[in-house]
Amino acid sequence: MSSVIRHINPINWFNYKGSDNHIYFSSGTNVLVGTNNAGKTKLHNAFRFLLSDRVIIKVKVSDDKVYQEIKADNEKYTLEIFNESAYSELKINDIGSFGVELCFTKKSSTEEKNYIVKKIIKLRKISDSKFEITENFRQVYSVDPRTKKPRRTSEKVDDIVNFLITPMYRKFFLVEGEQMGMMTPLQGEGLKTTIKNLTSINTIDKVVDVVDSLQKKVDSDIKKYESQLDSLSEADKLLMTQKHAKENELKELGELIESDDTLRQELEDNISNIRVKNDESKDKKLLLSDLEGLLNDKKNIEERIDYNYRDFIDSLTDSKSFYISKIFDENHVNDDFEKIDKNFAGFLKERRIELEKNISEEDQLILQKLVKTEPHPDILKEMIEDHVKKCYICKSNLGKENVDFIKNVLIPHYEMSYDNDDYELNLLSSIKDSIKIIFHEARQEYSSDEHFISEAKERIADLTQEKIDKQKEIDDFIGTHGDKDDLDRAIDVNILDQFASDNLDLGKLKSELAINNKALKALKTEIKDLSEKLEKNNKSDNKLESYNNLNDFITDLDVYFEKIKENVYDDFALSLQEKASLRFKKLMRNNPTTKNHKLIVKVDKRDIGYRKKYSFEIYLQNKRGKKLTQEGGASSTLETLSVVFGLIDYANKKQTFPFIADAPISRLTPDTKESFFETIIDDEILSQNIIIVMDLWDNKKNNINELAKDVLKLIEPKSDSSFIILKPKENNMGVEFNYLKNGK
Amino acid sequence: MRKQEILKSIIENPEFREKYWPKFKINSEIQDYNHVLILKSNNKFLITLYNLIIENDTPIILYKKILKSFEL
Repeated sequence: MSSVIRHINPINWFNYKGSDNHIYFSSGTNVLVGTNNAGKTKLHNAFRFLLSDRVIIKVKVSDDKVYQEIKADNEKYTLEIFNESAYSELKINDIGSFGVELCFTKKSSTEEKNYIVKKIIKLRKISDSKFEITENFRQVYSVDPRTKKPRRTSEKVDDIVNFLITPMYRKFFLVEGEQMGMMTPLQGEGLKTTIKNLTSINTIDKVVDVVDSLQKKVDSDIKKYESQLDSLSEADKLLMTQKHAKENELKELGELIESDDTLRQELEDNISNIRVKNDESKDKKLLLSDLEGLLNDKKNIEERIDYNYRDFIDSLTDSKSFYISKIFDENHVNDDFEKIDKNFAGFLKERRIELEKNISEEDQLILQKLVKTEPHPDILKEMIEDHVKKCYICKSNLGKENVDFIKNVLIPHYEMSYDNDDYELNLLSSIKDSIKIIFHEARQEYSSDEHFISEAKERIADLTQEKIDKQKEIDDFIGTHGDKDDLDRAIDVNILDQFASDNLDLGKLKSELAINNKALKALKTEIKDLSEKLEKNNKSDNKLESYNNLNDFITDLDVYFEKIKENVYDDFALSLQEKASLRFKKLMRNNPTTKNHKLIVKVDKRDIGYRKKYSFEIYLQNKRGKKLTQEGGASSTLETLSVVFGLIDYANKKQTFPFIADAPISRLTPDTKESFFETIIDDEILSQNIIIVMDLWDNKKNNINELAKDVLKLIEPKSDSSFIILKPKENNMGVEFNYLKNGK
Repeated sequence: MRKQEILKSIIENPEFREKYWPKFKINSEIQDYNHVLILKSNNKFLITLYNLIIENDTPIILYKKILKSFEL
């Protein structure tokens, strides 16, 4: 049996205004390309509503808007679903309706039957924001093969839509791209149910259940029979009492293990449910610690800058190492010293002139001019000697007048300068000499001080640059991951605590289970030994022997079925792993980073009481065998799709339900998008595909893009394929459909 | 795996065969071991196995049948 969707008609459904919005589908691949706001997800919601009465819309939770699955007749959201323009055109007290009508063919080996299913919600308008739902209309019509006219049937809508896609397969065949990584049939108990349905485990489980109930009955009957035996010797009676006590102990221990295992399952489910949130919080915590590290680094740099400044100031003010050269550069010191020295020489000269009262005014003026040179008297004496008579400064010959001036005015004047007990003159001279000494001392230290200062400057410059770089790093970090407050808000401490405590409890429970399972096995051996002893001592009792034979047989069957189950699960896991990995490789063939990735289907086996319990996990592994838990984008979407295809390959038959996918490729790279379409179209793994995408539209050119052209080429030779463009009409007035290819 | 396949796999399993139905003639070409073949064997284990896997009896009826086979 299979089903093919012929057309769908969303009525006043979000932006699909009015009652005639029929979209016709081919029986093969249907690619629906929607521009922005063309109603792609709304169309996908129409299928969802028809199958489950539900829609996925963005609802307000606290301050955020998040996607949630809600019932379409939930009055809180009705006006979000009812076409706004159609509702506004309704007059007060008018009855309006919204919903979906769908036509499909149910095919079996003997016949084809067309059904139309209508789900319409009718309401009465009270005001622009108030209404009352008056009817939830649901009807199935069968289409007369001869007249092609629909006829009402008494069949229930839910029963009929189950033919379209059976509930068990809905999560595989009605998929929403963004949610593909979270497909529940591929996780936990959902995955187990999927595997049970695909393998023979269900049949085996039914037989095992029968064997279980038989085992209990035989055990109880043997116990009853043994208790009634009069012929037992005292020793055997003791053995029997021991055996019964052990059996009671075994029963209690078995029950304890069962309840512990239920707890373990609950804990594992809890852990699995909060794992994503925990990982997110953990990541944010790590990021917060990284950010704090960066801020600390910056603080350290600032402290080092401060320290360097303080150290520099200290070294300048430290009397032991203080030199004037640290404050001035060499040129300044030279200039300043010369200026000061000149000033003092002037003061000295002025003082000497003051002291020589008998000198003429003209000579005083000449002496004033000589303040700068201030020659030594011995030099002057040498200059006027007969064989010299030359000025050492200007190199000109000295005439008699000059010689007399030097001899009578200058020499006595300067001799007096060097031999004078005038306090003020001596003080000035001493200050002048001190400044000279300080200057010379300081000059000696200048080069090392200059080095010290330039090093200090470099250090501060380096540190300042380091601080700027660090600040940039912090800004970049905050730009990417948010600031401290953002990260703080994203960390759920309760989840982190709960995850850690659940894991701790799980660890304890697992070790307790291991101990109890060991004890259970030991008890079973003891009971077996006691039974054998009793059997040996009472061989003549045929009835007891028959009971024991039956008991042995049932126990052997139980062990055998357990072994078969284990083999079936192992074979299934291996086969699905191979098939899904092949699919993954094919879908990701244009993506070199995942070349050596492999999909792993892991079977986890645990001894629980008498039996083994199985759980399954599917994950992606890289070439080094590392489990990839948070692989995003293309690989996580196609990982899921590969498993779905792998499961279909395992079932070894063309799938009979329509595959309806909204934005299945939104997170893929262009190359991978192409391989997705090649797989869907060429492989013919699925009977009918309805692929709703926006990735084939070029918004700038307002036309289909290059990838769309490639897809069109792929479906061109397929007579059973369609390519449809959805465009919104202005002012929420509806949706336009343009069939670029309309197959049968 | 169908019920008949499960039955066949146990009947032809060497360990079960040796322990519980050593005289029963195994023919691996047989697809389904039917009711007649099993009853003809007159082996209480085989009859119990058949009832348990193939027949859709209620647990009470099944147990009564088994007790009868084992003469209990």
